[in-house]
Amino acid sequence: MATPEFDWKQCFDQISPNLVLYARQLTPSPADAEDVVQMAFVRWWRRFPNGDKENIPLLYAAVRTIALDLRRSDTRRAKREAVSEIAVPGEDSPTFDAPPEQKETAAIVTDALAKLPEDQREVVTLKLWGGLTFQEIATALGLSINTVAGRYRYALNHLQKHLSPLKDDLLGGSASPANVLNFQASCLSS
Amino acid sequence: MNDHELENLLTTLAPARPSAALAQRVDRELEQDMRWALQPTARRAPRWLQPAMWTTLGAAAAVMAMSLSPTNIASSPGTAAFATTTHLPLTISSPALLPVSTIREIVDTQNEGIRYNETSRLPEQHMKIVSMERRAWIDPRDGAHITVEMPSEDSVILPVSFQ
Repeated sequence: MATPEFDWKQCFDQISPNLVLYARQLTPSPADAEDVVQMAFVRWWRRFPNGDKENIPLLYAAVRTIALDLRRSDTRRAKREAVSEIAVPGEDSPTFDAPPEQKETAAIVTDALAKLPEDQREVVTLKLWGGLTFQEIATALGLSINTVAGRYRYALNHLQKHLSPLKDDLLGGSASPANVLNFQASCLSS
Repeated sequence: MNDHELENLLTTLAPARPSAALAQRVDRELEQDMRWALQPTARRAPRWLQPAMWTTLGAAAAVMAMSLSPTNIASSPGTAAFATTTHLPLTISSPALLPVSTIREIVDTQNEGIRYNETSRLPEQHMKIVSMERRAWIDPRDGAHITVEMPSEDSVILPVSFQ
């Protein structure tokens, strides 16, 4: 039988990249995202020391609550976000762990995600990288399942609009510099 | 690119791993929890036994003090005060206790009037402030609260301007 210490480390190892990615959609800097994940995970583990998979939506809900609290309490950050409503993830560390041939794809996807409205971005993050079902996302966000499904649909449409011009390069694993420049120009203009 | 292709493309990207420091921070916090959880809890005596025990101990100490040196007690009135010294600060410095609050409440203020400083010849307002400092700790193992009250009396001198 595994010791509790082994259990939390194994659980944290598996889930922490997804949690940090989700937290980064709600916080402006990677350091804040890690702080949020630390607080949420410790609270969650104290409550559910067995780390049951069925309670993972609650962990995401804790990340969300703490991230929003942190954002509200930080006046300096509030001022910065007044200028830009979208909390852009920090740029000093990568969002995705991409191998060298996928680095540009990762950068393009990160940019495309940052252009999404926050409510759509968090649904798409929870669905694709958090591995949650629509029902679990609805529970974590306190929304109806139809709203969640609708947001996911809109998010995919937005992403398709942004990423379709680069389809060949993205599926090929790397984007050509010309296409990346065009893509960035289209993002700036939109 | 259809939805399926797009989802596949996005899920091929693995989220970046958090810094090693994050796991260490979580480890430290959870380790602290484990330390509290693993500390053996003392078996509690029945509720009526505790006051009875203290009464017995107090009576025994008083009898011993009186029987050992009755003349010393008579000659030095401070001995009784030394005999009642408690080991409370030692108990409170235990790492298992978490400080909760420190509240200082002003109970009384006495205005002692304006006096002139003998050296500088300047007026000074003399005040006496009687306060009560309450410090509280909590034992996370069983939620027990420990409160200590410390009365204090401070003399305060404030500069006075007649303008």
